[in-house]
Amino acid sequence: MKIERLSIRQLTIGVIALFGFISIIISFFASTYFLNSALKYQYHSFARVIQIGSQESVNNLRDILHKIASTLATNRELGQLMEAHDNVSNRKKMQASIDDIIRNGFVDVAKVNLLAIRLYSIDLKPLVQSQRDELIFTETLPEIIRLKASNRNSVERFKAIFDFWTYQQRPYFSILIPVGGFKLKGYMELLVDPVFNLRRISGILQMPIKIVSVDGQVLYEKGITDETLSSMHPIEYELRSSLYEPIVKIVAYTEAESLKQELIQTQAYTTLIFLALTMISLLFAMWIFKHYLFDPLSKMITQIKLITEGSLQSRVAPFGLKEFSLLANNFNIMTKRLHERTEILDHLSKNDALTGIPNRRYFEDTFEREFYRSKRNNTPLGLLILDIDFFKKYNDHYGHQQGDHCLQKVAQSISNLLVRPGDFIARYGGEEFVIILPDTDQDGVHHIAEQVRSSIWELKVEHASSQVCDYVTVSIGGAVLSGNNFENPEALLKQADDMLYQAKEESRNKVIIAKVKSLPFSQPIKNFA
Amino acid sequence: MQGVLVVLFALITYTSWGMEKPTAPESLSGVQIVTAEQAVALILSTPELVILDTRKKEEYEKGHIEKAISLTDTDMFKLNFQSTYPDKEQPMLLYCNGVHCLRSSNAAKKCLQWGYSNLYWMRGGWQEWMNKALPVTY
Repeated sequence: MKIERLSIRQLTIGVIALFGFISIIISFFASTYFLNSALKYQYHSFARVIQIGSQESVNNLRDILHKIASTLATNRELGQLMEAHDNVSNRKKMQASIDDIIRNGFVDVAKVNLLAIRLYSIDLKPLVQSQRDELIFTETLPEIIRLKASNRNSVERFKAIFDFWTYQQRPYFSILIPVGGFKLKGYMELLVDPVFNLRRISGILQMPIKIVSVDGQVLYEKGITDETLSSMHPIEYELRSSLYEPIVKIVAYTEAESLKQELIQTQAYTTLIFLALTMISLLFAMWIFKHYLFDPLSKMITQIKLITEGSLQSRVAPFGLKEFSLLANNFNIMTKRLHERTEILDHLSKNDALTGIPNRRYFEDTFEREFYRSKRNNTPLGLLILDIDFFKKYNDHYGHQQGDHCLQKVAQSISNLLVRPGDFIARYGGEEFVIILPDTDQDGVHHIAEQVRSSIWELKVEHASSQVCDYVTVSIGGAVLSGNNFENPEALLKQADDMLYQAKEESRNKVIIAKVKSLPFSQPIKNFA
Repeated sequence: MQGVLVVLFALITYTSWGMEKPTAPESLSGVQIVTAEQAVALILSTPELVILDTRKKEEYEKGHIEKAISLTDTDMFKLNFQSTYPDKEQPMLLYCNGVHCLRSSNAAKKCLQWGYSNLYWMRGGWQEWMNKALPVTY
């Protein structure tokens, strides 16, 4: 597409429409982004809530287990047995003691799911572990507990150690606690199923939850239905050991759909409002542009067109903004100057420089026009040609400067005489002048010719070398168009010229007007000399 | 007018202070402040150490440091105490619930007043002990 074919209006509308389109797109993407951020933030807060809930239940498990373990580990008899653990009968008693705890229960038995009890020597060598046929555990202390428990100083080794660990993808939680109080006899490990306690999260959060092992097996779920899965948003929290080893995944389901719906509605409203505002702004912008740009511009263009086609005298009215006023003013100044120059050129091209009266070319244009107009209107048209008598001699005698002066005087005199509108005088050449007399019959023409001849004579410009008079005189030939007596302007001019020649031949200082053929009478020629 | 403002300001500050939890003093001159670990080391190294649990009896029964004696600060009377522990050089470890409990510091002050000079105060108290999962007896 060529840029020349595009108007400012089209370009502006295009640009505004583009802006509108872009802003709508941006608003849509921005609101989508905000929607997603809001949801993300919401899910993030839910994740935080689940994390806090999980931590809470872990802390609870830790406290309960610490209490149970402390109670069991302060058993004086067990301490004594462990002191001499190499003794086979002692081992059997130790075994019986821990099996009894597992089998017959203990204080707070309902608060945990105790899977096993294991006893270790001071240097963490395994001594005995409770027997439960259905469960197979690592023979030794879980790695994570062992790492924490080994190489501790005399004070630190009295501290109980807790941690999560996994065995065959299943989660476990262990506490390792010193036996025998400050007279350290060995260690006792209590091994529990943490899922039993993590179930509490459901109650804390009041949400449907699911506890999933690292291999994706569901270990516990509550409140989860098909509807939950379809309409609610799952938020996961990964429970990790103190060494960041994943233990279980806790998945809580939150009522996200209503929130999402609300946010989508907000997004729709926002986009619509933005759209409306954009449209209003664009319409307003269009109105501004139309009122202050396009309308003044098209008005100016119309006026400039008028000036180009018509008169240079017209002016452009300034409209609207500063730039348009400046443009209009400058254009007007330019037009005015052009008009003035044209006037001067026109004048120069039409008028004789010496006498100031129209020149031969101007005469020819005017004469042709007047000739045909008279013919068309069927009105008479007089034409006079006059010549200063013995002008060459005048020049020789008085010099060219004086000659020019004489020509000016003659031209001035004749101009003053021709007072009727439409009468026209021109310098035809050297010392020859022509006069057009529209709507003038033979009598009128003759009368005016005589007036002219006598007025020149009455100027009393001295002419020593004239053979007819002491003053400057003129000879005048004339012809009159009347009806169809002449075919063309040249014929009329020819006859007038012939009459001038005749006047010169006869006596000079004389008027001879050709007789109109159609006239029944002939005008006698009077000699005013 | 200015006086009224000063009184008002003082009142507000006093009441706002009053609303805060009481906190045990940062230090007591003549009393050695110990952490839970230092307390364990002390227990291990000092067989004749007397451990005074100044918390309420119910709290004591829910778990305490091995060999600790339950004696609240308000139950400490000069003659009784001095007859039980006649040796003023007797090393003593005092503790209560934690930094927001004033019982052990009050007990320590009493002991100081009565002339005991070998005093250890576990300022973090039972809270610190449990956080560090140290041995508990019932």
